[in-house]
Amino acid sequence: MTHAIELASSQGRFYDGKSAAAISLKVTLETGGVRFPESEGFWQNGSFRAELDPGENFLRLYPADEPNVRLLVEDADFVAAFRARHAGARRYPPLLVAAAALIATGLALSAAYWGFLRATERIAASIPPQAERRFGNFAWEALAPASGRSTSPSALKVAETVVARLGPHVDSPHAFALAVTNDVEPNAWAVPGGFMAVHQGLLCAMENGDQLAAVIAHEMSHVVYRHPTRNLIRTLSFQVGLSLLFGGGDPTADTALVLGALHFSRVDEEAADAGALRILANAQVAPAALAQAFARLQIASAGAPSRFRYLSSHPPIESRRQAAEKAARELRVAATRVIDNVEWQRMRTECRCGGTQE
Amino acid sequence: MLYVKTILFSVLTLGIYSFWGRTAIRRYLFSSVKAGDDRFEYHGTGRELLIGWLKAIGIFLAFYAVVLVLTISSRTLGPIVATAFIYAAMFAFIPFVLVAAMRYRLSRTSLRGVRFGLRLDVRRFAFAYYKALFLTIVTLGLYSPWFAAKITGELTRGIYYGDQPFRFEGSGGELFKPYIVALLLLIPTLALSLVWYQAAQARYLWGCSGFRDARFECTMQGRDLLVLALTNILIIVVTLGLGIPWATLRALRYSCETLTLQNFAGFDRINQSAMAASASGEGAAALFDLDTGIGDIGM
Repeated sequence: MTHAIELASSQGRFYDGKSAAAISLKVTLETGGVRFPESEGFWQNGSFRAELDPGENFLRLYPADEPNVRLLVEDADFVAAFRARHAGARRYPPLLVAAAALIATGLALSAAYWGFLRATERIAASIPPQAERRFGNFAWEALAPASGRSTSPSALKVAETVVARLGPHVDSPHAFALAVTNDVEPNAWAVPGGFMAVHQGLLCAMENGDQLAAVIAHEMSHVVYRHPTRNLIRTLSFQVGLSLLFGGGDPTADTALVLGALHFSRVDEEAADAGALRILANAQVAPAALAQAFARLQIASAGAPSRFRYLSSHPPIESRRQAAEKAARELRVAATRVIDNVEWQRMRTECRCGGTQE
Repeated sequence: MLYVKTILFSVLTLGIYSFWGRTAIRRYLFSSVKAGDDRFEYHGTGRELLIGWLKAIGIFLAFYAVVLVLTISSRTLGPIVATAFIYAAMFAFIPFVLVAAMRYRLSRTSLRGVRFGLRLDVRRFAFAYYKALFLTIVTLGLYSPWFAAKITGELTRGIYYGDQPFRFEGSGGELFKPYIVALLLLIPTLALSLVWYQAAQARYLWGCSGFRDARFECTMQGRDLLVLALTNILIIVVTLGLGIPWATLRALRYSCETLTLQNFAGFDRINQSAMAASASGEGAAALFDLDTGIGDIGM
């Protein structure tokens, strides 16, 4: 048999949780719990909770199963004795807590990010083509304004010819539109709804119309897979949220924002490359043109400023070039030229590309 | 230490700990406030605040979706309609958020083991809020004193301590004169006259409030309030923000020291009447940057 040892005693205030009336009573701290000698009551350790105010000589106790019942003791000696008896019972080392918090946060954020990616994919897939086209037109006009477009008749004719050749072989509800911009950096991009643009710099970097068609087929594949739609939804979700929380302008008019959304993952690029090869084969354009286009872009992009570099928005191109070369070898296509040499050279002259090719 | 711990852990956990940190700080602050010999208690939990915040985020995501659709629906009118929608929705939300946050906090506050609560028809309150706001706008702000009294009155009359309601008797008309004086002195005093008006408003609104047969009396003074604000700013600036907890406690101490409940007959015959409430209103309140309760100065 063990005997309870009295550690401290004091006068406390008791509230029964049913009314605000206070009952003054004597409280004794024992090794096994808290005793109320006058009423012969006893709260065993583990059956009650305690709140010790930091820096205060104040103790609040309540039974675990009666959250509104209160016992208050404001006595420095009693509180010190209680603290000594019960301190550290449920404490964990701070480093362990911090590490657990970091891991939990990492897991929670990863789960949230994964959920966000899946949700935006679903949203992108469920957007009606008309809405996607309206959305894309908005971005297209912002990124390729009329004032920045090429007026070269032969460049426009080249663009029209490429789209006319490839368009019928693409499984998409959209009518494709291709703008030629005056930018000298070798780049091409697509926004939702079938709207695309090719920089004059890219036209000049290509050796022939087939290579240009390969690049455009790649962009068309992005549209088919709705990669730009999904990325824009992701980026705009962040931006609109930030704008609402911290203020800001019209997020959909932010060109840098849209450009940022046109950076695709390696998986997306590989899917678009595979899609481009299929489109080229169906349109009877030499599939080898894709690998050749990559090789030309590697050379042309070497000295270009980073913002508009084709490679800056695409993953490592050498491995993709090799993959495209290998895949093209396996395709048997009775290919014909997309654009004849005379027309191509005329475009190069009009666009002042410099030098002659083929 | 609580404040520093909250900041450090919030940074480490990318803000997730802040819900638990804020709860701990509130618990401490509530415990620091005494009514007679008894301390207030805060019963909210970090988990409740986190869940409330997640619910609020859900509401806002739906809100973003509407804004996005409106923005891209038309190149010319879209952004205008979306902006109008944002402001209209924010104004429309305010009364609901106010009531939800206040209901949650009161239901998580107790004194002597008896809980506070809010019994209020939120739609009726929202209607009164919109009406008072409309009158304030069409009178170019001259209705403000009545607006403050109307909203405070509606909310105060809904507050219960246990099974006993609070009272509010006042229309706000008495505040009109100090309000006009504050407006006239706005430019000559570089807007400091508003501090005196704030003190006058606090005295009036507390003076109109009561509990059972007792009446609150507030002795807040503009000069003291100004000194408090200036010294608090100084403390925060000099300590590079680390002094925020002291500034918070100083403000809370001043608010409590200048507030008394006159002719209070005691706590007998006040019985428990707990009410449940959700924390989502408070989550939205945090996002809207609204503050509705005691002890949250600086948090």
